[in-house]
Amino acid sequence: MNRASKYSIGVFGTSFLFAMNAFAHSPTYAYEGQFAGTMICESGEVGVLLHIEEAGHITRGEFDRVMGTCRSGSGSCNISKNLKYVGSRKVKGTLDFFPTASNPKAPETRFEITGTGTRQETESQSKMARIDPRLLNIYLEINSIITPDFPSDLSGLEFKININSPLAKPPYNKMFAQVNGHQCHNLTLSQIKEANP
Amino acid sequence: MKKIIILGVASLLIASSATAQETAPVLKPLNVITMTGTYAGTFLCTSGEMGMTLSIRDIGGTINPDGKSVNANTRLINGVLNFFPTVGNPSAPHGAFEVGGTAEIYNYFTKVKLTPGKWLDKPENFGASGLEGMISKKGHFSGKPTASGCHTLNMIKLRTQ
Repeated sequence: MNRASKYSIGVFGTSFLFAMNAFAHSPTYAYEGQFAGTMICESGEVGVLLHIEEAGHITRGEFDRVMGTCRSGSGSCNISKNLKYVGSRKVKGTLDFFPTASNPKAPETRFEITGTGTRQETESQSKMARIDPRLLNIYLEINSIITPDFPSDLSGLEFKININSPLAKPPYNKMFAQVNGHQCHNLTLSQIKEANP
Repeated sequence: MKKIIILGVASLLIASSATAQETAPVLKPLNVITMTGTYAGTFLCTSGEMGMTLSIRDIGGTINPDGKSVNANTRLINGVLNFFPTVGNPSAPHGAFEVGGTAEIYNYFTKVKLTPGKWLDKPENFGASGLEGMISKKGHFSGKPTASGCHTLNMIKLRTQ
């Protein structure tokens, strides 16, 4: 077999791989873990510790309720929606608030959270990651819905956390979080190492 | 026949109770149980405010000077210390290392001394520091890192491991 024919097989093999895995993500869901940082709320700086773990598959109906649906049944919106769905999982965890040196009277509270973790990848990014896992692009959104018994001064808090790691080499050191609403902002979380069992 | 059955049941009960006594775990003092867990808070250094989490695990009592008896109120502990940036000091490094030391249990508080161990996540140009502090019964840790220039470490207990 000459060099040209070897190359052709390689190209066709890759195309076949593309076809098989057009909507497949890497199985790594590295957003699981514990993250700590602080944010600014109306009362001042508040410490945040977030523990998050995967809680199983999300049904298409549940996914559509959270992420919305496309206007038609085909086209690029559907392709990206399907890709997003494949990369979505239910998540659960805990969210702790703690006082800081600059705001020692900040509330000490703990809440259980549930939500959806979604990996944001384009079709081409997903294909590239299949060829070379180092090219896996993770832009993850976790919409964590806080349990209802939230204190009045932080009511309506909803987390939207983005992990943006172009090289996707865990552990991810930083997560950037936005807190919906006007009360809290500037949350940056760092991944926490935990003790070996 | 009836007597034999009753005797047999009685001996089985005695045997099972002896086994239960042998295998029953040694209960830790309540203060030890309330001390172990994860703490989170911040401390101040000359470079600004930094966040900290500390997990504390109890290993057991220390041996008294007689070499035989165990001192249940002075405990060997270990854990993991994480430090991280805060809103007010976003350029602070983040990292983690193991810690080990002792906890002296008193009625209303626990005195903790920890020294740094193996790095788990080492930032560049940053050294590990020991830690000294008191843990109140309510789970408030107040103390300071032993590194010079750092002080006002306050943490609260978040959860029991």
